[in-house]
Amino acid sequence: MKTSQPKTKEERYDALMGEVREAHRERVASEEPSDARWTALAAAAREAAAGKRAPTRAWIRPALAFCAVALAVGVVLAYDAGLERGAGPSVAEALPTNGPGLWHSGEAPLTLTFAGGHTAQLAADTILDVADATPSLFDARVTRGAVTFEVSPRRPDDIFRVRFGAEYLEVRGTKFTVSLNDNGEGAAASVSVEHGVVEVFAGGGSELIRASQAWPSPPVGAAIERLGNDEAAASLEVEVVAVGDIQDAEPQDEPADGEKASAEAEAAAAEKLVPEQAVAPPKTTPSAKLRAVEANPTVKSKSRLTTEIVEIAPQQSPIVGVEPLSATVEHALLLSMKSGDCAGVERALAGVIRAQGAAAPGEAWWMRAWCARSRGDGPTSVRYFEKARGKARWAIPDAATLPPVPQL
Amino acid sequence: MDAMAVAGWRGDSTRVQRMTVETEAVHGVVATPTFDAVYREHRGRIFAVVRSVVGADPDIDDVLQLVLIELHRSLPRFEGRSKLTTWLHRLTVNVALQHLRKKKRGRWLSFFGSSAADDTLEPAAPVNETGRLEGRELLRHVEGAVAALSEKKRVVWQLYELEGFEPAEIGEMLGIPLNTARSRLLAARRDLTDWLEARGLLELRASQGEDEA
Repeated sequence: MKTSQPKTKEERYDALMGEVREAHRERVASEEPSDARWTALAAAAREAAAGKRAPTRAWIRPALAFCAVALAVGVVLAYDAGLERGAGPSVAEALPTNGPGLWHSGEAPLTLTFAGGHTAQLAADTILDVADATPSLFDARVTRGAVTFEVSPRRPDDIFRVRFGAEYLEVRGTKFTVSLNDNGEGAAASVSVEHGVVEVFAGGGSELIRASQAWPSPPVGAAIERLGNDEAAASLEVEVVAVGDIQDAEPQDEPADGEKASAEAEAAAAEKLVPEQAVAPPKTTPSAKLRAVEANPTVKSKSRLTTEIVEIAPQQSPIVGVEPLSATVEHALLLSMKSGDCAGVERALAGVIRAQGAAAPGEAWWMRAWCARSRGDGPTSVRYFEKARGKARWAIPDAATLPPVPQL
Repeated sequence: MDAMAVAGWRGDSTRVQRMTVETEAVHGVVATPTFDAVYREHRGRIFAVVRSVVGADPDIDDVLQLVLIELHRSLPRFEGRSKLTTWLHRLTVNVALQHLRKKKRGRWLSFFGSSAADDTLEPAAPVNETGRLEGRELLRHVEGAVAALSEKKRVVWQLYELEGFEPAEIGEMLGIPLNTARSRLLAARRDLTDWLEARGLLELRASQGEDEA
């Protein structure tokens, strides 16, 4: 007798599945647990469901033990961290804090408290532009008047940065004043330290300013003239970066003699903490370094366009020349030499911004925006401009006021 | 209200045993089946579903026990809104899928390679055309192909092809719309058909049928 054969693919599949289903049933029947096994499983389930014991999972007890040990270790570490920062929340941490924004003292002095317990006392008619105010990153600019900062003990990798004029300084200590005075011939910056140590970087060198000392700066106009940028001349920039702070800084209300002695000890300790920064060599500008690279015959010629781009970009940037911003951009630009176009610059800048996160300078965002504009991506360019303005509002008033992108 | 009370209310002692297993709503009163009755009646089906979903897993006893624990805990909350079998299969499938997902999550923590269960899911080698595939061997080849499907398609296929559930029941079990269950099943069938055809299994079955004729 001839049987009908499956013709189509679907029919052959159905025929195959019939055999598969039969084989599966046979296998299930042969593998099904015995009555005794089922009885044991049911009894264990009854006990487990009734809460008499946990399900028979061999890993549960070791996992619980591991969790207990991890919890204990975490408690110990948290306790240690609390001891390092001072046992329990400090009074400053418990107080309400001020955040980022443009602070103007008006006719009366103004005292601000920021996250981490840092305080800033603004003299009358003083403007302080605070870009970041987190416990790990404080970034502000004194645009007018005088501000006295008191920096709370911080971790070594925390950043406390105050900008004014074209120089910058690194703070080793905890209380200092930044003043901007306009004498009619050009603005001049000064720094005075009440306790702790501040390191001022100016003119390619640096100078340690200790307790009760002051730093006189040359007229900021000189630096502005060197930049050749009218917009930069309109704002005064000095950067103060606090690095390697001393954890056991003296309290604010300590007598003057003890305070001074403590500051001296802090200075010695700080020099040990970051010795390499105290002897940092003068940095070259990105343009100079790129020109040097371009002059080297071993460099491929396709980097020429990159060089042109990156030489124009710093000239367009209103905040170029402020170290270490230039160093950051320099790094980005050198990374882009291999690509030979503005896209490479943009990628390098994006990498720098990703690596530095919230600490990425506004200049990097500004140059990235410039790159986006040069490739005709207007919305992205505006977005980057806003990022740059968030970092450096004092220098970038509005994206619409920026000069047009030069045609290369 | 317990099962005996319902039976007593109905005055039919011969229905007590069945009432404990097949829940019925009588004049708005729902009988709650007992744990023992349910697991004894349906344990074969529970095992078949678990075996289909998790495959040849050495931890299958653990999965069965978790199903029974969940059954014991959830049975008092069973309200009779669906058939007991549908509710039980849904519970079973969910526990089995949770086991698979936990196993998948924990796999990256293992420093000792794949488990023995994984080895059974390896795609089968090409079939020798002169050979004759039967029973377990054929099933092993097909399961090798099914293992390559995504979990969503695989589970629907297993419940339909191996366990014989209808797409509507599968949708209810997995908490997905009927059309979703159908589309997953069709996609699984299409993928599997292509896989089987590419390895000559469909042609082989056809030639075997001709030989038998």
